[in-house]
Amino acid sequence: MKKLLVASLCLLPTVNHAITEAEKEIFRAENIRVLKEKGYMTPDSGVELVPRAALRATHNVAYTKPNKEGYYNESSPRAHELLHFKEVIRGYKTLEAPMNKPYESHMRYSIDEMPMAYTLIGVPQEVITEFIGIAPSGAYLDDPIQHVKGWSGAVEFFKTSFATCAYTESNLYVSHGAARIAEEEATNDVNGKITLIDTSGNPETGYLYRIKWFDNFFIRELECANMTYSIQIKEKVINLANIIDKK
Amino acid sequence: MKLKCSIALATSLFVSTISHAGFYSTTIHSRANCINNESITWFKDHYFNWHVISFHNYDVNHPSKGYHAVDTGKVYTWRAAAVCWGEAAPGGSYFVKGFHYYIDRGHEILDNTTEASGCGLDKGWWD
Repeated sequence: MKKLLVASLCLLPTVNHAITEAEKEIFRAENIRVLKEKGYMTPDSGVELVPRAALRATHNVAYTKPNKEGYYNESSPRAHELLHFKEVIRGYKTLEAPMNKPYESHMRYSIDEMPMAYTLIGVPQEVITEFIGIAPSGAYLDDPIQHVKGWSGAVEFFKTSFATCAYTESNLYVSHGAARIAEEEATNDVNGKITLIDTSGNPETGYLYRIKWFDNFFIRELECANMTYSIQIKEKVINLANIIDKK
Repeated sequence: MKLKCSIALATSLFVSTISHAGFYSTTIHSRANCINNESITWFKDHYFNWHVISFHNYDVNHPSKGYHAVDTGKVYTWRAAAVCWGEAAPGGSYFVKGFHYYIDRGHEILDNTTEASGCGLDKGWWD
């Protein structure tokens, strides 16, 4: 565990007046100007394809290619977790017992119990063999002026005929998110939308098949776990993502 | 007013915001005038490349100087916290804006933008 990094010690003036909406707007504009100046993505700037070299400029992450079979041969704690997901839920049972408020992040066992800031798309019932639960993702918002109350995203856990899966959706209108995707790795496998596909795992943890896709309204991710790796399973996961996207 | 700002990684600060902590997915929030000012991204025990920039705004008459930013840089962690300890007393008028980035195999995603002028956990973009 990394030690806390003390970034700075500073002197700031005391402030004690209630901030107005107009003042917030001034700060928002200034903060976004600073981000732009530093080359960072700004809210609501959309989803764009860019050369990978342009991404390295801001976050300096080297891309490694999957092996010749088409997956990353590495342990996948997420695959193991999904394959033993009911044990994970049991592990949090005591911690979650007192939670019942809308902004708390506990598991819900019915879609209707999930307080969303928008209308959840979710997974079509016909592809689910067992619904496990749904939990919050992103930020909880409560704004009476904008009439926005609820979570900006959610993750739905379920079993389908070939895997145990987690489907996460994030609403860009609510989150004010954005994305820059390396054009070299992007496909259009999910209904022609910008899509990222990768698989990682090994025989010990199982394999995680991951599809992430983007449009003007959502960032969505489907993760499915299986103990084996095969092209056929990968194709089934892509097909499932297409079905979810069409809902 | 002397204060200490920090970039907290996966520490055991699992106290006041426990009910908001992401157990099953990434959760994100900002809080202001809460003794601390902070913007935090977390998903308990799940490690990602995250980057949180938290602007703590205080002087609207000089907006280009009337703030300071706590920037975690790119960190591989389950809890990326841009916090300024002891900066703002309850009832103060700091305005916090958090920008929560996720670097997913090198692809850059602005996961969420949060803002707060209050101490509650229900403060996202709007307040």
